[in-house]
Amino acid sequence: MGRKLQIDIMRYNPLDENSVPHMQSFFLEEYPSMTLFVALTQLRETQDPSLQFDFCCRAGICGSCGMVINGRPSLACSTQTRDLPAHITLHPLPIFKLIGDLSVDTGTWFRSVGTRLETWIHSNAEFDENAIEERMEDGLAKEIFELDRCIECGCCVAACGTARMREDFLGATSINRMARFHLDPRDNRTAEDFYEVIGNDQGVFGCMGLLACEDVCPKELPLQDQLGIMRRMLAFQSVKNIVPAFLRDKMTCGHDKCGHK
Amino acid sequence: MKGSVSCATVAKTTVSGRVDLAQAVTGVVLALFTLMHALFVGSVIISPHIMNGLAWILEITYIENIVGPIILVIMLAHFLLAVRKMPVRLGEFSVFYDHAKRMRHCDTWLWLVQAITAVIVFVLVSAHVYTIMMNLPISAEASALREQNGWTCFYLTLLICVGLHLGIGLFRVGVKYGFIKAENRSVWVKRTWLLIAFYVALGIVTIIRFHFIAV
Repeated sequence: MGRKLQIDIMRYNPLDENSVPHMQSFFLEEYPSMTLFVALTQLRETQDPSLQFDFCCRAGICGSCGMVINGRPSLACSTQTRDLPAHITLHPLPIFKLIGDLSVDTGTWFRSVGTRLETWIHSNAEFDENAIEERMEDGLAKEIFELDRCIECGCCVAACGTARMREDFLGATSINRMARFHLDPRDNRTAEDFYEVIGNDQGVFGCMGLLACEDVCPKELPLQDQLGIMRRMLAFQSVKNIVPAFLRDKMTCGHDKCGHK
Repeated sequence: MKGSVSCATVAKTTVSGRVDLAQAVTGVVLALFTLMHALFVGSVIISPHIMNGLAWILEITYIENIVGPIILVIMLAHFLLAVRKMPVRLGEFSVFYDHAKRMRHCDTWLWLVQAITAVIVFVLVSAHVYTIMMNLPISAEASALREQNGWTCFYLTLLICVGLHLGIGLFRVGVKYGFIKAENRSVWVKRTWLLIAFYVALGIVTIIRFHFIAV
């Protein structure tokens, strides 16, 4: 016999003008290895078919089930109810546009940031469709892949105190994405180019080092480390014309992509 | 037909990076000064003569007359540089407070501590430096007189706020500039709390010592 769970869910349908945001309590019997995904699906099937929430992969890969679980953003599909107290509170992720109840639109946010920062490879090389793909060292490929594991669930943005206060702050996920292109030798952008897009208070210099992004990331990405690397590189970029030459060479290791190994 | 082509482009600016670096550098300089200051005043614990000796060196080299105003200027600069991150509007503060309460995340709370202590330190340090500069030269007896004449609460508040602000601030600079990483974070968290504890403990013992100096 499992515990009896009380799940309080924020209910609100922005499309219904009579809808008022409120908390609704549901009760459910827990069984072994129950995830919040299972619990919510069960609630929708047996208690309230109007309950809105997003799911797709159920395996922590698609990033659509990000929600605030007992105050902290996380993925519902990879959260087991046994790791939570019997009283669970669920809110939709803040910052993103609410679709209804626990469902938010992270896509528009990520797309607008991606377009603004041009998060794709910038290369001047002419494309030759017959050429063999350029080789890359295994170590570097792994390093890039590590940052590419981001599933864009939005948890780091929702957990960020800066992003909550300043809605134009780009968040850890965007800076992690830029760090990924900074690592990539196929990307021709220089430190100066990166500075132009994220070298401001909306980008790296807006981060206050609260570490919540890294602490909540369901994929355990090294978000704060990447922020540190990018911030150091771009801060240096802003003073490189006023520091003495010997110090400059020491700080850049003689090339532009310093900071990353 | 003449066209009207504008060649105006958005000027490239280095301001954001420089402002951010300046905030970090002024913060670190102030932290180092404050630690030196604590050791200097703390010398009274061993003997008021040592503190007076050190004060004499600072006086004949004019360091106290020069460093005081410089530190005040650096502090003002640090405050002005950092204020851009503060929750200036009421809405921002309440959003952050609400966020911290729900998140139950230590580092998020500590930032609020950082913002609040910043304001307290700014006001109290201004008063402190003004009093010191008006009552030069520095001596163990003059400090003891202040402590015994009702300034203890003032200095205890200042001590705790400076300790917290300094420790958390140094930790943050380390995090923001990538010196503190995921792999060594827990070690630096411990070191930060040790530094804060050391600073506050040294300050408390110093204040107690001042109460036992005959003036």
